[in-house]
Amino acid sequence: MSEAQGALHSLVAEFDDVDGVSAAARAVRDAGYKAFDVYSPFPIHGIERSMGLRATRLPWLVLACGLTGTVLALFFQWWTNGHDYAFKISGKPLFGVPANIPITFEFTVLLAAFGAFFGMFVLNRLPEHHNPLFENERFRRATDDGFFLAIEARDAQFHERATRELLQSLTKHTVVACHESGESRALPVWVRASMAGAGALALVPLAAIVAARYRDSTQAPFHLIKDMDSQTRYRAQAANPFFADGRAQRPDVAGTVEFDRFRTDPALLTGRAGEAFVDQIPLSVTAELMQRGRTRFAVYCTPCHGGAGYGDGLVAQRAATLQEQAFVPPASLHDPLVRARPAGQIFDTIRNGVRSMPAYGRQMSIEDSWAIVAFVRALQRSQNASVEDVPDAERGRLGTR
Amino acid sequence: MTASATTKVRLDEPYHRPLLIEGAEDLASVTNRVCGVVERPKPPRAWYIAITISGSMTLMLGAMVVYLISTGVGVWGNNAPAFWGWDIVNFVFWVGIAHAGTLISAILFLLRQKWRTSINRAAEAMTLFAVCCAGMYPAVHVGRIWVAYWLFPVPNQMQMWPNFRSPLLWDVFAVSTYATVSALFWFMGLVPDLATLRDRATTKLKRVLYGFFALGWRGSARHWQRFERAYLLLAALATPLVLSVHSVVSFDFAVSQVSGWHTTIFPPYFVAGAIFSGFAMVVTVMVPARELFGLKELVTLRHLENMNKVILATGSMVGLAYATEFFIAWYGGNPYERFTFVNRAFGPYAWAYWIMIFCNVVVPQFFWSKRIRTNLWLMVVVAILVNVGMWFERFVIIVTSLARTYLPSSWGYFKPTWVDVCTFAGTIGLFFTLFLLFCRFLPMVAIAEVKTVLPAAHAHKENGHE
Amino acid sequence: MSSLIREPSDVSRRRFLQVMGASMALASASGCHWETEEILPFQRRPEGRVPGTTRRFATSIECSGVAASLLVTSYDGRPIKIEGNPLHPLDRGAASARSQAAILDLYDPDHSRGLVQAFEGASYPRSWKEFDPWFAGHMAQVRARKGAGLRILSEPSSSLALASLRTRLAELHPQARWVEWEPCARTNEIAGSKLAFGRALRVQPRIEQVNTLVCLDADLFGLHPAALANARAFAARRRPEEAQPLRLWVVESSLSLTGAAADQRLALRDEQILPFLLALEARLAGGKAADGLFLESLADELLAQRGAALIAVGPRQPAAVHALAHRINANLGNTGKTLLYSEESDPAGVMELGELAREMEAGAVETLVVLGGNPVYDAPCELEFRRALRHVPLALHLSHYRDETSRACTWHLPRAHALESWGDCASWDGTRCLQQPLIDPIFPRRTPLELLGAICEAKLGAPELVRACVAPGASDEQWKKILHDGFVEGSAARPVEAALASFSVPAPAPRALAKELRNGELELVFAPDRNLYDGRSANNSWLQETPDAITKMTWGNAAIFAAETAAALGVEDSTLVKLKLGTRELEVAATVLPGQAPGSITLHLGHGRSAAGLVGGLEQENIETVGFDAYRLRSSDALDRALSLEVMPTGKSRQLARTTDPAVTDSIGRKQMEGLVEELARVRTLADFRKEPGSERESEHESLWNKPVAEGVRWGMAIDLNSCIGCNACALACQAENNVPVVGREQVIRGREMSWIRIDRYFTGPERSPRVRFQPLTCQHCESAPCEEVCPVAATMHSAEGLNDMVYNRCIGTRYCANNCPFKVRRFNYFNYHKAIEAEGAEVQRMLYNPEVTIRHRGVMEKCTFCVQRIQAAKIHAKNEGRAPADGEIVTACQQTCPTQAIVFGDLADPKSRVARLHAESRGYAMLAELNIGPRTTYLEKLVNPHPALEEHDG
Repeated sequence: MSEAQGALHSLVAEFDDVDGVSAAARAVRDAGYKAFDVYSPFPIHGIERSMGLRATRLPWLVLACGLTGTVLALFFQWWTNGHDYAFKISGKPLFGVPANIPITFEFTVLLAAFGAFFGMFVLNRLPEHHNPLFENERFRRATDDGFFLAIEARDAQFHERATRELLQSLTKHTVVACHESGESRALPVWVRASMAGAGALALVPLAAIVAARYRDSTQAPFHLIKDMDSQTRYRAQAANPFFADGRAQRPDVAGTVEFDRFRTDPALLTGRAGEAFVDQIPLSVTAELMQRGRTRFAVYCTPCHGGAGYGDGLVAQRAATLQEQAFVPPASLHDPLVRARPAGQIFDTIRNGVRSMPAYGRQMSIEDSWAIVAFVRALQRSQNASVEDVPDAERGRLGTR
Repeated sequence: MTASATTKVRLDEPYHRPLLIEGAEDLASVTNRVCGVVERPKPPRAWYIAITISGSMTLMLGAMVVYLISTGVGVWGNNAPAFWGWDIVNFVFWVGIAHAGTLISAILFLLRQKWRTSINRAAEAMTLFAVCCAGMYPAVHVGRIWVAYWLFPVPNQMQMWPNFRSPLLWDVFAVSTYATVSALFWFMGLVPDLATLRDRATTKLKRVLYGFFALGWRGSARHWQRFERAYLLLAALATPLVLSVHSVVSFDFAVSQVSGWHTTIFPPYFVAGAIFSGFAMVVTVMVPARELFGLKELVTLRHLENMNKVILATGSMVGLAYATEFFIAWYGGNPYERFTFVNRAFGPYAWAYWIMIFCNVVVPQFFWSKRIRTNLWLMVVVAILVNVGMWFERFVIIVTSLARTYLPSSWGYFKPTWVDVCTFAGTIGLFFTLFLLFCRFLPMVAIAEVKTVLPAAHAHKENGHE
Repeated sequence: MSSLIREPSDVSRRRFLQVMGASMALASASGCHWETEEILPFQRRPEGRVPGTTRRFATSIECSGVAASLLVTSYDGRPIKIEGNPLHPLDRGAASARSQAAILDLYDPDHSRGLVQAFEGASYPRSWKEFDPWFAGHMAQVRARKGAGLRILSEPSSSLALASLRTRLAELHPQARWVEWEPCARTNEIAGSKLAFGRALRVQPRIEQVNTLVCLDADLFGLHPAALANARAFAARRRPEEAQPLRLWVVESSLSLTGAAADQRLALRDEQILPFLLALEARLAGGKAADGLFLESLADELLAQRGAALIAVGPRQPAAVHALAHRINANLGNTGKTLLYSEESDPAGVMELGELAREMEAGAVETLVVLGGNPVYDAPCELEFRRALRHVPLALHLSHYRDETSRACTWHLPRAHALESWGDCASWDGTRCLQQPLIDPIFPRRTPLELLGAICEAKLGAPELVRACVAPGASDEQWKKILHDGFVEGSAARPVEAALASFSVPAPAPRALAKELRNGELELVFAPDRNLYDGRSANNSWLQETPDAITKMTWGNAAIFAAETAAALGVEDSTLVKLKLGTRELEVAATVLPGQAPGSITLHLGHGRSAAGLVGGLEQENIETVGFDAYRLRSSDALDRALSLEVMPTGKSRQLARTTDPAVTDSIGRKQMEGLVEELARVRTLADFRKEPGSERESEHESLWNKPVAEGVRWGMAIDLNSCIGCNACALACQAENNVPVVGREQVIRGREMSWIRIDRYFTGPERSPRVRFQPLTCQHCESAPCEEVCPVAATMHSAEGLNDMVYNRCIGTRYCANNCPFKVRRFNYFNYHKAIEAEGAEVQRMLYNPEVTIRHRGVMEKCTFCVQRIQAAKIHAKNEGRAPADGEIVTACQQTCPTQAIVFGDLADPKSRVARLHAESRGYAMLAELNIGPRTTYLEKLVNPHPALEEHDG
């Protein structure tokens, strides 16, 4: 007899065998009790009938889970391989059911199994580590060789004495009252404290990661397993500590001649025939060449010489505003002197520079240099044209009579 | 107690249903007997010796895996053309072992084979442990284990997904599902027994630990009702699962176009083989275990004999499969296929092939004789030989097929390295370590289930004989 | 220049192929962070240098006094790949395997990096700064003595610059003597022509004119100095369209590349060639020779093909055989049509090596300057050259490696690599080739020109000297043109009239006619190795690991036995035997090879180096030698063959590192192989082909799913087995182009070699005269590739252009793809095979890598990509010019270098493309078509042209 502090939870009757407890269950059921239960070390056949229990809803739950699995798996496989990450694999269709059957099946079984397992415990309201019945020493036989029947106080027609009499009439053992234990069902403080502590600790790494993600850092990201991310080949302009200059790229050997880049025509290469500059552009001047020249001119020349070649490029303007003494203003391409120069000389100037103008030979190909020359010639013509240059048909539009 | 409990089992009268439990057993004695194993202060010395050996082998496994990962798959014997070697052989071998457990539980449960109750717990445990050993191999055999997680469809910054057309991916899903479901199945059956241990616990620690995992089970009829339904459902799910898993494993080979692999017979053939090897392993383990822990009355000779009958049956099936393979290879008229099989039997790997034939086809035939079937020593010998044979089956299938495929110029010969051997030995160690721990700390026999087959479990008013 | 260079950091003394040991890339040099990359441009970019683009320079390499004209690709001023010079009349863009492998030596950590002086047993590093003044002083004294006691030992060279210095040396040091030594010299040929014509002449074969080609122990396509040109001409004359296709007859003792290509081959002992040729001549002269069907039908054909036949003789044959061949060719009216004669440089007034050795022993040599070569290793064994060197107070050895000779001399001087040197040399046809450096010497190394220049106080530096000698008085423009082309146009030697002198040939020794030989009088033939040549390439890991074309052996050599000889001697494949010549013994591995003449054992030179380096063996560092040193048995009186060989099995066995298990040891395996080969590597006789042109093709099976219709380009390849001679040039090209690692002997034995292109070699038919089939195999880029569907992470998939792409970074290494590949062309990185080169101190080695190709690490799969980087480069180039890449513009590395043009790559979608037309050819077939995987590579079956009389007799 446990000392009853708390409210009465239930009355418990003990039995020695299956027959006894089954009979009792039937009697209690007939007496109209609902909130009662039978406890046995193993499932007793037919006891649910004796107790008047309804069949469980578990199977439906499992079915639902299984179907979810089927649908999810199929959709996911289509979405990944057929849609989101579609690749030509063995020249096969992006999505074909046969290949997806195995995984669909496995996933169905998996979710269904989850349904059965967790469903059972949820419906049984387990885990429930604390139950007043456990207060009763005898009750431990329920998992060994004892059979018990307990009617709970919450039952509508529970009446302590009447119920006790009913039970007593069914068993030879004395019916025991089971009370809610006084102490709270909550866990002891130290347990809760340690659990809270553990929880907090578990959050630390997470917090660290979040912090790292949202903070800027000058350091290169962590990278533990380098694998192929670290390549020992030297890419363009890479460093090679072996050489004193630290460069992996090596200078050309003096006097060597590259294959395929070899041309002899001096006019083309130097703009000179003998000593004198050529006046003819050694390439055939085509619309493409002009266009090319125009773009190259815009890239290389306009900063100083200006779009129209009057030597009023941004650099020149800036220099003027700052009144740079040392600055030699770029020549206007429309200066008669400049216009008088042969094409070869302009080419030479572009390639090798003149006065403060740097040499562009290293930055542009021979053809591009000539293209610029061609364009400059056109520019000069355009800025120094006379009416005669305009076709008669067009003259009207010039406004001049 | 009823008088019938004392009647001896009469194996020789199949029409008369003998009792499954020998000796005068009632509810309490069953509990005592099973829990006694766990509760006894000291296990027998044999247990200590065994766990020392298996434990050190497990440590060796750890060392091997570290060496492997830090150095490269090259430490194994895998080469070209045999890009797979012992790694996959052992994987398939262990997966096969893993089949008996869930099969015994699930299928026999569905078939209402009550004799399963004494052995299913241990068998299920073996399943789990074997799956651990099996699962390790695919994980570590890849070249870059640190990115092996790409096998799973985890959303990642690379915006990439696995290729669901690949049998290997099916394998990943199948094996992991199998492991999960088996674990659930096993744990669920374990809960009521944990409750028993909890309620018998003498020390607070034990009470807390067992209690925690018992989840507050108290044998309520309402719980039992849902429990049994859930158990039935799980069994119903696990059964096709078992069959599917080894089928999928066999797809790894059947779906490829390597001659000797590309065979439609593989799924049933593999499943039969799996059950075959699984049961053999159960026998190998249970015979000493029941001796060691005094469970002779619960795990009776009849249980063992039944398993031996299954071994005989499946062994013959496997033999049939071998024959069929050969026939089809000849009948199909594909020169490559034909050569593969001739090469197996008479080529450089003939030794392996004939070991396989002897162990898997010839040896089990001894079980036609009741004397051998019921003799502990002989049945263990046979069971071990069967396990050897099944390992060689996988070796023959995988290695001999790969070593000589289409182009003669790329033919080769596979030689294992010491690392291969030690790794395999290590997995065996792991398996037995886990099993020994299980024997020591968990009820080896499903107490509650055994009670249901005791006479005491049946109300006499309602039913004379169920 | 040398100011640029820091002291070389000492490379790991480990043999850098041993890749075992933890190689996890965890926390490597750059810690656990991403490494930061620097970009270091030039302050003033040289004209025409665009970062990240490659440039090419024409240059050349000399080997045994004959030039190979090369076109070298340079990336950022670093030479990374060697190809043939497309302008050169002989090479025409092809380069031999050995020339291509030379790029590896340039960055080889063993390639000498500094001077070493040996003094009282110890050796000390020295610098040129120390050496030059001292040496100048010393030479002054020598000169005072008119060069008495000064000897120069050099390899034969065709360099004009060197010759000019040599004459100058003669003036300065009248008493100095010049010595030439070359282990594989052409002495016999010269002697032969002297016997026949009274002067040294060189044979210039004109194979394009030949209908009947008879090679007597002559490897025209393998080791011949003009092999590339010969092979190309041969392939051209084998095309089925040819009205009168060439028929190739070969008589030799051991299978050569030429023998492998033969229509009719007869395996005779080396010494039996002379009697054979005598019999042939007699028969041609109308005499009745009883010597079998082969000789009969050959003679008939030669007579029928007067003026269109050619009898070529190999350098190992004695002068008499050469002379006879000259006479027969002349009598048949072949001379001037199928072969021309040109002047052969006759090394007159050159001292014999033996004489030098005796002088040295006598202490008459005070200063010995050894320019290249490695006499201590390869001089005739009885000379004991190492011992002789001890008597020389001052011996300098200028060499690429600190080899056996360097270690025996008092001074080792580092020699500049060809790609670091100015020089000149002549190719086989006499064309004057230029040698211009691609890069300044990475370490302070010098060329023979520079050293000799120092000795004879030359005024001019190397470049000026070369110009002065090669193109005196050429304008700058002309000189630039020469440098650009890499050779002097039209400088080929003029053909000369050769008047036949009357001479008589000694009757062959009776034993030569003997059918059976007793053990103890067997024939041992010394042949230069197909990869390592005379041993100079022994430290080149590419060549060591490239399987020999015939034996498929890597990392070492073995004595080659005929099956019946081996059986008679109780020798088995892969066992150790003792070879005994008089008092000398050598333990070597034995191998059994079809097509080997019974009674004749062939042993390749160039192996067993004791001081080659970390690759080829270095006894001082306890790095085991590779293979067996045949020179230990090679004496002056038997440089080509020894006739008193005794073979003693030792009972020990030695595993040979072969990439193809030769003897499929078990009977069923061999049976299966012989059955399959007919399907895989198809061969038909020309007659059959002409009767029935179509090769039976496996009809496309019905597919289980609708195949996707490919639009746009479809890259594909065609390989003509009729042209392939198995020369391995493609293998080396691929290795250099794609950063393919070398794995080492142990790994090859495990079958883990990494080569992306392999040449399968099959023997079929009778053991004596087998039919050899070569089949280059790359990834076939199947339309429905079996490898793709099984990869769980989709690491290999089809590109839009139908390439079977391998995504290294996605690969996790399940190796399933390789299992499912029926061609087994996929390679797995079982270890990190680049480990040693990632290590600290390997900065120079890394310069070798092609920056356009990812370096694969441990645990990933790799395979042929159809040189995707070249495809992309060509596409970009075309795109910049606003057009689509033209057919033939994209050239894979293997295709580029193939001397016989057997490989063609292109767009299958374009019906006019060359590859598409080849796919449509009636000879075309796909391997394993019955698998329905649709390979993108089509093979064209090989057509052989056996003599009708011998055909069925051959079986």
